[in-house]
Amino acid sequence: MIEVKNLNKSFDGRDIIKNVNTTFEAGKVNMVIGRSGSGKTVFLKCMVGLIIPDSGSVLYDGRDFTTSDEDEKMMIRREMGKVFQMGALFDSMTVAENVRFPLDMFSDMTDAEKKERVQYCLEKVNLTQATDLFPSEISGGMKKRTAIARAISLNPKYLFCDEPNSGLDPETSILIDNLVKDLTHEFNMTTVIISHDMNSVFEIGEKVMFLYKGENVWEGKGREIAQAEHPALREFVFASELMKKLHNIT
Amino acid sequence: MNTSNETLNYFTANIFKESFIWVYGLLRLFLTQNCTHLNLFAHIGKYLLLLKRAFARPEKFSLYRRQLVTEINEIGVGSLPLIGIISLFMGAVISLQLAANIDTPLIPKYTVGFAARTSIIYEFSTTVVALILAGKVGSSIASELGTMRISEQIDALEIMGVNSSAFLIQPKIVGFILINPFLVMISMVIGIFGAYASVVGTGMVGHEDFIYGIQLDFKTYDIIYAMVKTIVFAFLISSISSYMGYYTDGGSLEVGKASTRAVVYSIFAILASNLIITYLMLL
Repeated sequence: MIEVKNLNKSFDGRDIIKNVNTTFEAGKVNMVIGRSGSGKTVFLKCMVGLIIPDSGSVLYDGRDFTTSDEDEKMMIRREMGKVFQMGALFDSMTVAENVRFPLDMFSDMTDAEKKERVQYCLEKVNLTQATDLFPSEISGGMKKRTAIARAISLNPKYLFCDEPNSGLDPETSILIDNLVKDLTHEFNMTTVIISHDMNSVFEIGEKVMFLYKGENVWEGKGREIAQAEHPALREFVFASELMKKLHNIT
Repeated sequence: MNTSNETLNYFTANIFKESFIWVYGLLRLFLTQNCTHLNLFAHIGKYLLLLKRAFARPEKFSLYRRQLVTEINEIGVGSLPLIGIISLFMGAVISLQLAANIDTPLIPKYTVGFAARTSIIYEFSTTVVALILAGKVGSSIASELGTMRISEQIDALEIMGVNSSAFLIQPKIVGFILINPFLVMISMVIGIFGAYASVVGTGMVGHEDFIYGIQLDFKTYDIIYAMVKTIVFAFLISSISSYMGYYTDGGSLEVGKASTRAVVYSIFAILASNLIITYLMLL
């Protein structure tokens, strides 16, 4: 479980995250949604320590990450997996080497065990046919799947995904969504996804938080979002004509 | 004796003061032109903090060793052809110029060998090669780390719990420090061979004269002096370029700018440290 308490962050006097409080439960797909520039990525970076918040705290199963020293932070980070928006795969390594890297770095597995684990992770994301290809030789969807395989290779307790289906076709997008959902349930991970995609919110969002101008203005289940009354959230959810029509039908 | 020592000390102290003022002024000028948000001291502080983090104990020695070997191969073996060609022509031209300018019988012919050896060991194979490597290796390090930064690969390492600066920067600095003395020694040998071939081959200086000249008054201390410079230059090039690349912010345009800054500041650092080391070791 991840608890966020009174989190604040500003840049050059401009408040980006304003007193955000929330809890992300284990074994659930938690989603953070909001318009572009609403502070979603900054919020996620504050959570994982890539940006130091001005005040507030982030607790990983009761361990305060924000006040931890560098060594403690490193230990908590080894329990995290993150899927970056563009994949952030290591260019000089093949798909299999990318997935193997965290195992080489932090596990005491034998070479055979590592190979087996890499194979298992790549099977999970249905990518066994691309093990020897370099990131520059694979498609956007395959990069995302490789990033997911790398993120789960060390059995993380916490999984963070920054817009995992941006730039993907609808079919691949659904595939990625289902993959993240299945992995979350199978390994009882605390998953936090940042997304714009309303389809993902409806399909896999077990808890959704709406960030508006850096504030947490609404929280609830994915399917409850259509009934939400916050004007900014309604504007966000029903921005497309299709969503408006679907809402009118139902 | 006492007076001459005092004079020398006073001279040395003032030279340091003057050098420091010049280096500080030039660095400040460049940094304020290129970096609006941070002043010189903030940069120095950030650079030292990065070095402190980069020299932390690596998480896994087997991976670190692999990285180190890769860096030595890329920096060392990758630079050999360039160093070889430059040294050969540099040595040849130096000795030709010396031989062409010695047209009085009062100066013996072996002076060509002596002067060529001294200038190659003192300056050409150390400082000139370092300036060339600042361009080749410095820009390569800065652009590699800059690209890793903007494509979030460094963030990915941090999220995994890897000390990204120790994993990426330490092997580059250590690798360059280990391989640069060999590169410089190879440069010296090729440079002196180039000098020999150009003047002895054209008959401007005889074989015995040239060999006598390059052996004349040879001191091991000259090599020690050259090696000290080599190690300091390797450290400066790799650490400054790593700093510029590691803290790249923005897009691909910024990677190019970081790469240029890495070369410019490395050159400044080489020239300033060359002056300081020369005063410390030769005076």
